[in-house]
Parts: sequence; structure tokens; C-alpha cells
Amino acid sequence: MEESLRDKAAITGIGETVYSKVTDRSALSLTLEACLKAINDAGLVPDDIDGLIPYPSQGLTAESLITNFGLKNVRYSALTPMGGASPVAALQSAAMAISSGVAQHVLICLARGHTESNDGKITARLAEMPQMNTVGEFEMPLGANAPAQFYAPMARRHMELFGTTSAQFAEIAITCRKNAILNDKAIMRKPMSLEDHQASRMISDPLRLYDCCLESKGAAAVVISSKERASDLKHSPISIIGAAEGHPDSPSAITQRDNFVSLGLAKAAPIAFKMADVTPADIDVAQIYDCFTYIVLCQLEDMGFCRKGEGGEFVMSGAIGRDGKIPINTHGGLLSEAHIAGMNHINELVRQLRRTCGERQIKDASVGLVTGYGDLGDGSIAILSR
Amino acid sequence: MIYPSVSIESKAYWTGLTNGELLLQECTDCGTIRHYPRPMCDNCYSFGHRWIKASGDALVYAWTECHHAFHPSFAELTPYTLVTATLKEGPRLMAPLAQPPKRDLYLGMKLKIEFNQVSSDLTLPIFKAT
Ligand SMILES: [Zn+2]
Repeated sequence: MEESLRDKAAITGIGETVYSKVTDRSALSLTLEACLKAINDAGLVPDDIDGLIPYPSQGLTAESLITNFGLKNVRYSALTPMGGASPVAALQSAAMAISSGVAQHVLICLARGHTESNDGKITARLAEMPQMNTVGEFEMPLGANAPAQFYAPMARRHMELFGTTSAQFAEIAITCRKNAILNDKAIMRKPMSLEDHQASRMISDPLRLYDCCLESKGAAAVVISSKERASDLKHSPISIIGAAEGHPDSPSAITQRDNFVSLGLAKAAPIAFKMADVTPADIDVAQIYDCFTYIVLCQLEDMGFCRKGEGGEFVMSGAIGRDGKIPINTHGGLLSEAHIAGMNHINELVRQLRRTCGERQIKDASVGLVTGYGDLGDGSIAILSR
Repeated sequence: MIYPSVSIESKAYWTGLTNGELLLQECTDCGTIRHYPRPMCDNCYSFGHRWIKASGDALVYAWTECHHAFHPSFAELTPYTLVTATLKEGPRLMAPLAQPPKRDLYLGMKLKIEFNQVSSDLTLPIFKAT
């Protein structure tokens, strides 16, 4: 069973729009551009697409993609509503649809388009999501109104239990920034020092501003194809060799979770590694969902790159830099490239495995992983191989 | 102010707060105490429950000091501290810490639940260091 999705599907096309702080374009408009680029990159035409997994935000639906591209052959559509874990979870769902023979070319896309002013909107937007019902009713009235405030208590507990420090969180932000400096798509390219990080204003203790990801606009998409079809396309296929999603205990309220310092990824990672028949030591590059620095540290532990509680020392050892044991977020991540909810992480992993990353290319990258994290601890992981 | 959208399952909880009581659900079949309110016991799948009054004793489990208000109704309250604490009865509760906190928080620190009437029709729990 563990081998069920190994090598059945491959990423054959990637596409991204420009990333920016603001935009006057709708989510749909940005989505269509990213999708068209991904389809072209695969060497396909839109009507080859027979499966759709759009990210359900700002009204984007499978129907809107079918309408705008005039698709005639769609026979599979699905949603993976797991917040920032959605795009990577969608890789699993696409691989399932393909390995069962239901679809041949599945398009996955995500956009963050034009919105009106943001004041207080995040709370209202979150409260409308069904998976936030419990937090919306019981915690938002108390003043827990946004992800930084939901997640900060987990980071605080990790610090109290294991002696983890803010300087160790900073190392993750600084690593992403160093990578972003080599990426001309990245929004934040000014060097960041530990002093800069420590001087950034406190948002929700222990999370400072530079522990928090950007708020960005843009879209990204990928095309997943069956292994047989993939071999005739434009690029050599990047195979999905392991994929899994994991839901934490008490997924609708962190407050009631037995284990505060572990995420849904802790359940998904062993499944994906076993499916792929690799261990963390075999991973050449990892794009790790980085909505907040602490979430990266916790995921490194949950995947077994180091033991629980040792994430702080692990990141300080140089392990996550471009010359380290496990280079992370080579594009700059959500912290410095852009917040495209991790669809940009999938794009970057494919580029690394195609070895087209130029100055920031990890030498001989052959096997990599990408994670997603969302809502109140949902996790997803895909292991890819060139 | 953010008002909760109260459901048929949680109405008793919110009414309890208004009366200065923190109410928790206790399974009438296996005795498991649960929070937040929901229709079924996750230990024995029983739909039977009764509401019990929490003692008000709690121990600090985690916390965050909020410096940035993400919602305008909390802008004048910053910095405020949200504490997650384990109730003597088992479940956890998140609530703001009464200002000013007496001393630095630590895991396992003893807290007592009090009630803060924030408007004529909304009372929220609040933690006080003992
Ligand atoms: Zn029961």
C-alpha cells in the first residue's frame, strides 16, 4: 500500500505570474495566466487538460477554468481545502486520479488577486471558512484573530520545553532572505541580519515581524501528467515518488491539541518517505512551507531531519543553507519570495530538479521534497525525483 | 467587539458565562469531559451529556503576548496576553490574562478563571494569576 503512488505521475509543467505586494488584477485573471504558462511549459494545449484542482479562494472554481479555457474534456475535479497545505495535498490527489486512470493531465492552480483594504478583513475572511468555525466562535472574541496569534502559543511552548530561541527562528528567516537575493522574482531582496530580525516589531510574542511571511499577490500553477504521457513532453518529467497528507489531532482547535509541538506533517511524512523508499538523508533540497519561522523548525523535526526539540540547534548548525545538509527554500519562500500559499514552493522544487536555478542551483539536485502547512496544523508532503 | 455566532450546541456555554459560570460538557455514558462544545463524545460516541460547572482552577500550558491587533476592536487593548491553560477538569481553555500580570508566566503556573462582562450581552472568561 505504501508504494501506491510511487512513480505513477510526474510534474510536467510549471507556471507563475509576476509576484508583487499589490495588484489591480483579479485572482481569476492571474490564475489564467499562470495556468496558460504551465500548460505551455508542459508542451500541451489547454484542451489536453482533463483534471482540475483549483485552490478554492476568491471564488475560483473548476467551472471558471472550464469556461475561460473552453475546456471540453474535463472528467475529474476536486478541492483540497487545507489552507496552505492545499497545493501539496493536491499533488497527492492528482497522482491518485492519474494512477487510477481517471485523468491524464491534471492542472493545479492558486492565486491571490486584488482585494480591497485589509483592516480587520483577515478575521472576517477566516471566520467564514468552515474549518475555522470553532476558533471563530470561541477564540476570535477573545482576541485571537489571525494565524500569528493562533500559532504563537505553539512556538512559545516549544521555547519553554526545549530552550528554543528567537535567534534560532531568525536563522530561518535569514536563510530564506539569502536565497531570495539570488532570485529576481523575489519581493524581499534586501539582506537581513540577526540584528534586523531582533529589531523588527513584535507581532504576537514570540513571533516578530520578520518571523512572519509576506502578504503577496500573484498566481502559480502546475500540470501533473501520467508517467507514460510525461515522457513525450517538453521537459524531462519530475516524478512524484511519495505523497501524503496528515491532519493533526484536534484539527479545529490548537488549544485542545494533546501535542502542541507537532503538526499534521508528523503523520504524513513517514508515509511519504516509505512510499518513496528514501530517508531524510537522501533529500538534496527541501521547499518547506514557511508561513512563520517556527513552523519551518517544527516541520524539520516532524520529518525527522533532527529530533523533536533539536530544531533550534539544527538550523544554527548551517544545515539549512545552500551548502548545508538540507538546503531549504532556495527561492526565498513565503518569507522572502512571495506568499503564493506554497504553490511557488512546488514551482521552485521542479526548477531545482530540472537544474535550471542558475546561481541558486543546488548542485546535482536529484531528489527533493516540498511541504504544505495550513489552517490549524494540516500538513502535506510530496517527494519528487528527476 | 467580535461577537460569537452561537450555535444550538454552544448556547448553554455562552449563557453560563453570562451567569459567571464556566460550563463544560460531561458525557453521561463514560464521564469524559469535553470542550469546546460539540454534539458527540469522542471517547464513546454517546450523544448524551450534561453541563458541569468548572472549578475555575487552571495551569498555564502556553501563551502569546499580542502586540499587533489584527482586528480593529482589539487595537486599544494591545499589548494583551492570551493564555492557554489546562483546566483542573481536563480540557484546555484560552482566555486573556487580567492586566497587569503579576509576574512572568511559566508553564504550570496556577491561574484562576474570572469573568469579564465586555458588553451588556457578552461575558468572556479571563485568567487571573493566583
Ligand atoms: Zn463518552
